[in-house]
Amino acid sequence: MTVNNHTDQQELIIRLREENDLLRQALNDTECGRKLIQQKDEFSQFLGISKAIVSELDLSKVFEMVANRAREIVAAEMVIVPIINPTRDRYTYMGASGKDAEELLGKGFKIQVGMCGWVLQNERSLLFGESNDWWMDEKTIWEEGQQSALLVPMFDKHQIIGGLSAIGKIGGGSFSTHDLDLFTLFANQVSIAIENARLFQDHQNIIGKLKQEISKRKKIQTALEKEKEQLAITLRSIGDGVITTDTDGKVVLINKVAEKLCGWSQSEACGKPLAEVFRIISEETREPRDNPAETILKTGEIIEIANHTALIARNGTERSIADSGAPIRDKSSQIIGVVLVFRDVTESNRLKDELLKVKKLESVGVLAGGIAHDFNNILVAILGNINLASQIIGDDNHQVYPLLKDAEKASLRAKDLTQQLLTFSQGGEPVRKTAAIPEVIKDSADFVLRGSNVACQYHIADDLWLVEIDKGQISQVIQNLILNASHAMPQGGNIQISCENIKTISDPGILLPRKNNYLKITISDSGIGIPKNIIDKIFDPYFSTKQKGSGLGLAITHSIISKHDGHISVCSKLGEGTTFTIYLPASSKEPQSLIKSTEIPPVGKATIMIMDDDEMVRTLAQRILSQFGYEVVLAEDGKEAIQLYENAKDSPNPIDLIIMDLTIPGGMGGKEAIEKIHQINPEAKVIVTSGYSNDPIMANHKEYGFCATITKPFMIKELIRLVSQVLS
Amino acid sequence: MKVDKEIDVLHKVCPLPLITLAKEVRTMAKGQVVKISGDDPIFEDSVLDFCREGEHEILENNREGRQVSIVFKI
Repeated sequence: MTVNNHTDQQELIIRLREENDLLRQALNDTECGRKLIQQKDEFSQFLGISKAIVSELDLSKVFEMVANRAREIVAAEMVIVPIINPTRDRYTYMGASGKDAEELLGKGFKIQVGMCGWVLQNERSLLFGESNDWWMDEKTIWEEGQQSALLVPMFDKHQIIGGLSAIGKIGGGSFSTHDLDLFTLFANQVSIAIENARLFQDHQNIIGKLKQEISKRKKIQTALEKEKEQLAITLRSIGDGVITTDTDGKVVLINKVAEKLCGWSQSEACGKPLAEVFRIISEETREPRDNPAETILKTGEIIEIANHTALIARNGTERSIADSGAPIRDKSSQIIGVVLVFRDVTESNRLKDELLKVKKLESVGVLAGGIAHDFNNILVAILGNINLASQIIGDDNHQVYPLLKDAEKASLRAKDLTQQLLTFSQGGEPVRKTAAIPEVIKDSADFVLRGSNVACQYHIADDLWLVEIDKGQISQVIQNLILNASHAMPQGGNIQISCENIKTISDPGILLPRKNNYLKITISDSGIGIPKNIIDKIFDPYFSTKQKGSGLGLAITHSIISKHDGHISVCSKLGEGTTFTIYLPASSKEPQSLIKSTEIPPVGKATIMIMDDDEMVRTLAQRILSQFGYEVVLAEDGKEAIQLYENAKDSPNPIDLIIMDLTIPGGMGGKEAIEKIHQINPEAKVIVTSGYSNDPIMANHKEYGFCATITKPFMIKELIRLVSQVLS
Repeated sequence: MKVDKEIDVLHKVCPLPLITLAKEVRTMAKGQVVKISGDDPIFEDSVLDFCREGEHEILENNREGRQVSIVFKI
């Protein structure tokens, strides 16, 4: 048949429908035809139901739909869906519809229990009803009034998976063999749907588990990344250098401090052999140290790197380091790498060395302090007697006179040496007096340079401020600097010395207690200069480049300037020369006595008591003072001095002046004795004498009641002038 | 013999007799005696299986035609 247009099509459809109705009517007229139509309708309904079920993927919904639809198909009071468990030894009612459905859902039995069990084990259908023999064991036959039951197995491709069980025909009676056929057909259809939904659910479960696993792993990964970041931050922030290696001894991680100390960045060092990045040598032998990673990997033990190890950075910089290393182990204690922790101890070692030097100095100080008293007393006797002998000769042309002068010079040098040593003992507090610095500088420089091929050129400001200094100590500073300058110019030359007032110090590198009013002294030579690598060490005690140098000169210089609240610095260029710059605080006081009297004052008439434990000192003082017309009384210690002073107080010859030693070993010294003397006579005049010019009592003698001080050993002129001043 | 509980599942077919029995037993104490009567073709086998599994002692097992009565101790 050919259809040419739309109208023809419409007509054809109408005609077919009419023919269909006629055929249906004809079929309805016969029993067989009615059955066919019923079967067709049931089949159509059945296909629709199956389609709906097959399209559902939620397993619990599938079971629910299967039970509901099955009940409709066979008109049962109840349908249950027994499904064999994965272990295949039990079954469970996964679906249920109708009366008592709720009660049965989820219940289960062993595979051999019940009618369902029989069907599942035998893989056969069962109709407990009127027109069918009972297949089990013929024990009983269904009777009207009993509930009919219809059970069919369900198979997937290979095996039985469960069944459908209909219980009780609605309205009573039995299920028919037609119900059995429909139920079987339905079971075959829905088993596919159940299997699909089951697979889908398994799939979903797997996906769900995978998602959970992924989520768990993501969390773990995030936590690990966070921990790694924290660890990296910690490692990078740690104050020590840290390097880790793998089991081949290749660098895995290098933290910030290690990067700085080794001169390699993380990206550069990563994968490099440790020995290339972490180059260590013995500071003493300069030989390379053993590779610590190799040692640790070999022994599996923690190691400490030996003392005096130097790390050579990529740019050649050398640093002293302290180091330790340990194996990195995993959970099963297997070594998976090495970690090294090290720190720069260059500064710390330097400080330790400094401390050692200071301790050495302290030892010198103790030694100096110990010998000073006796040594000074000996010098007093030597110097005093030389002075006396010179005066007794009274003739500069006498042949003995130059010999005595040489002996005096030698004694004065011994005195200077003693004073140098004493600077280190008893705290070295300067005994300050207001003074003009040019005089001290010129005297000291001329003294040092006498007879040498080096000369000084002075550039001194006219309006130079005064300073408060211990002349002896500052003189020592100038002598040391001039001596060094002269040694730097073995072929001779000029030393430039300049002094100027500085109102404000602007250089932030100069650390001083105040910023205003300083005297700046510069001493420059044009000598060989000081190499860069040792310029930082020149003020260190015992550091010397001279074969015969003590290494104390510049250390003492630095110490003296610091104790004067001043500052000293050095600037040098190899082959061009060296300049030392000193800052000393300017004084606001007027000079005490800037005109040095060289004349001996006229002879006086007074009684003077000498208190000293040393007989040589007492005898010398007596000789000198007697020669100048003074009456002299001698005391060995404070106790005797007090007794003599008290006895003489009301006599015709009272004691006018006492010169007492500050320290009397084993007896009463000057400090205690003056208190008792002042109790007897508050106006008593007392001069204190000591070898320790830097003793705090000497520095602040007036606070203790003394009217003047004189440091042993002293010259005749010095003693007589002081006695005369005090008495007048 | 004192029977603590009688359960009638006559005219009920599997699995309802078993479900009813299990539900009742759960409410009773050990040592109590239950009598259950049914006529489902698989009733006898099912109850005997149930007792074996729960280790209940069978005291009586009587059949009259299609009707079976089983007495057991929990």
